[in-house]
Amino acid sequence: MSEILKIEHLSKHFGGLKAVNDVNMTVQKGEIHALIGPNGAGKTTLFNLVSGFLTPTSGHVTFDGHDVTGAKPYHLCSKGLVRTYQIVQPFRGMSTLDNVMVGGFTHTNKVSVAREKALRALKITKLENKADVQARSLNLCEQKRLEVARALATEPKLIMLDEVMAGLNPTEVTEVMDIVTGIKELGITVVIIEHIMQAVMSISDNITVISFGEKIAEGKPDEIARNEDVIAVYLGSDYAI
Amino acid sequence: MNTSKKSTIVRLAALAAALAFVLVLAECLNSYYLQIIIYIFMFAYFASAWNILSGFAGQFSLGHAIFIGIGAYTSTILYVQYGISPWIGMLAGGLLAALVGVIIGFPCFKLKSTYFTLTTIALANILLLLVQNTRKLGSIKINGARGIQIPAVSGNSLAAMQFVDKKYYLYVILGMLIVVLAVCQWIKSSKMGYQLAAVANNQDAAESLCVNSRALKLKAMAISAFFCAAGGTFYAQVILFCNPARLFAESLSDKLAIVAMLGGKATVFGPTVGAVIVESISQFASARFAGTQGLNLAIYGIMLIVCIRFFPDGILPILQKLVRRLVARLRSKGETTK
Ligand SMILES: Nc1ncnc2c1ncn2[C@@H]1O[C@H](COP(=O)(O)OP(=O)(O)OP(=O)(O)O)[C@@H](O)[C@H]1O
Ligand SMILES: [Mg+2]
Repeated sequence: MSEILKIEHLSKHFGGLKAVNDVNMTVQKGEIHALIGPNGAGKTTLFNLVSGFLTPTSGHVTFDGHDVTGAKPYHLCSKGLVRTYQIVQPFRGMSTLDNVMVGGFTHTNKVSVAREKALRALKITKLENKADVQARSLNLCEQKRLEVARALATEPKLIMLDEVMAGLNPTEVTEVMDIVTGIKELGITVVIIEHIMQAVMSISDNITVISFGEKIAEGKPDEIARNEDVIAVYLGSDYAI
Repeated sequence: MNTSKKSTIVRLAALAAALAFVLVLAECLNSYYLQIIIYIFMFAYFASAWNILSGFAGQFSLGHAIFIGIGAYTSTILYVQYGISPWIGMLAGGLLAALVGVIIGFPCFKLKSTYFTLTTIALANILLLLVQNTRKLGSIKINGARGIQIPAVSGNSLAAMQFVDKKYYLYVILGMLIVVLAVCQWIKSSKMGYQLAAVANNQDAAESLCVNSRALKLKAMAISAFFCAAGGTFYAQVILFCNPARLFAESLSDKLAIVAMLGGKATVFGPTVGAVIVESISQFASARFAGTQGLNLAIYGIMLIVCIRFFPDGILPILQKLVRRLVARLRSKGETTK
């Protein structure tokens, strides 16, 4: 396997707060890579750094062989790196289909092509029967899936999902898990931030754990579940085997 | 597919009928009423141009008089001092305004919504003061607050864009309105329209979906400024006078916003509907209560408050809903009688 995303010595300081501190992380092509850690650990900040919404204090990000440190979000997106938001950000005044079509225009100027791509993304995220509904009237689960659909419509190589299962009930969580594994099967690499451990452990190929801005562990799900540091700061004794 | 084709045909037919109605009207009305209709179309035109930046792209400007003034002054100076036809001046003014718009937008589009609006107000006022206090710019006569009179030619002259018979002004502005509406419709139904709507709704989310929001807003600004300036030339030719108090006025900027919002901003035909309502009321009020100064402004204010309170999306969406309901009812009646 080859690596698609490489994060080297990445740091972001907000004044005295080291939100992300000297983090190294490598994501292999085609895998589902989970990023876990306690609240405020710096996971979303790491996403913001990689996706171009924040410029790092120091360190480097390499995507698909190119140094993309400090690149603009729209630039990264056209290169195939896209992210979703922990706090959903739908285009409230637009229909579900139109929301997704915005992503669909990434590699085309044609409305018909963008619509086709959007419809495909809606199918993958099981939103096809909501196409004409205004985005503001979708429920949370649907809005989370809309985030994913919009990102998928850009036809990414790497998709970064920030807590797409948070706030959903168990049935909905299973639904979204299926969607995520479906995305992997399309050949798209997934980096996923998630607090729901059953989900993380069952779908991810590799897991990186951060706490207080620093990486404390990395490995296969079973390794992580056995790691004493991770159990101490995050998982608690429930997951100790 | 079939229904959308049908609705396009219905829409085109409605437009053709409206056009025919206006052209017949132009033949029947006296010059007083013609003048009113010219103003309605002119404000429909201005508000539609404003809407490209402030409605479609969501960048709320209260300083668009800047561009109207630039258009009016450019063509007037070129005509009065260099004998260049206002049609060419219109193009020159439009291009100059687009350039100024981009220069303004470059730093200002970094600001979040309200700050952008405040900046446009400030810039318009600065420009007003500058023009009011400038007699000459090199060899160019600006005449400060007195303004520039456009010498009248006799008869109807297309080259000088001056007409004794007012209906020709109506033809000109009608043509300009059709052009700007066509541009709006084209934007709305193309990639640019989707991306502008995305930026207007949520800029960060748009950026993460490959939308270069800055470049896109600059493009919208340039188009909006260009058309406003072209309208400025027309305005100056109608009143044959170019003075800062009228053309760079804050109340003019505000009026574009009110007209577009009342009709329905972010829609193609909303500003036109708004112009019909606002301009009819305001013309009626100023004729009926000619002595009461400032009444117009009070009326605009009240209309705006009512609009924001009761139909924030404007009147056009409500009208469309009513029409749709009416059509549905007629159709169901037709089916029961069958
Ligand atoms: N723009 C900012 N300015 C200042 N501090 C910030 C900023 N963004 C995040 N932080 C701080 O950085 C730390 C990491 O926040 P971040 O949102 O990355 O955590 P997280 O791991 O995503 O947490 P959660 O699981 O709750 O989503 C927090 O202490 C947060 O308050
Ligand atoms: Mg977070």
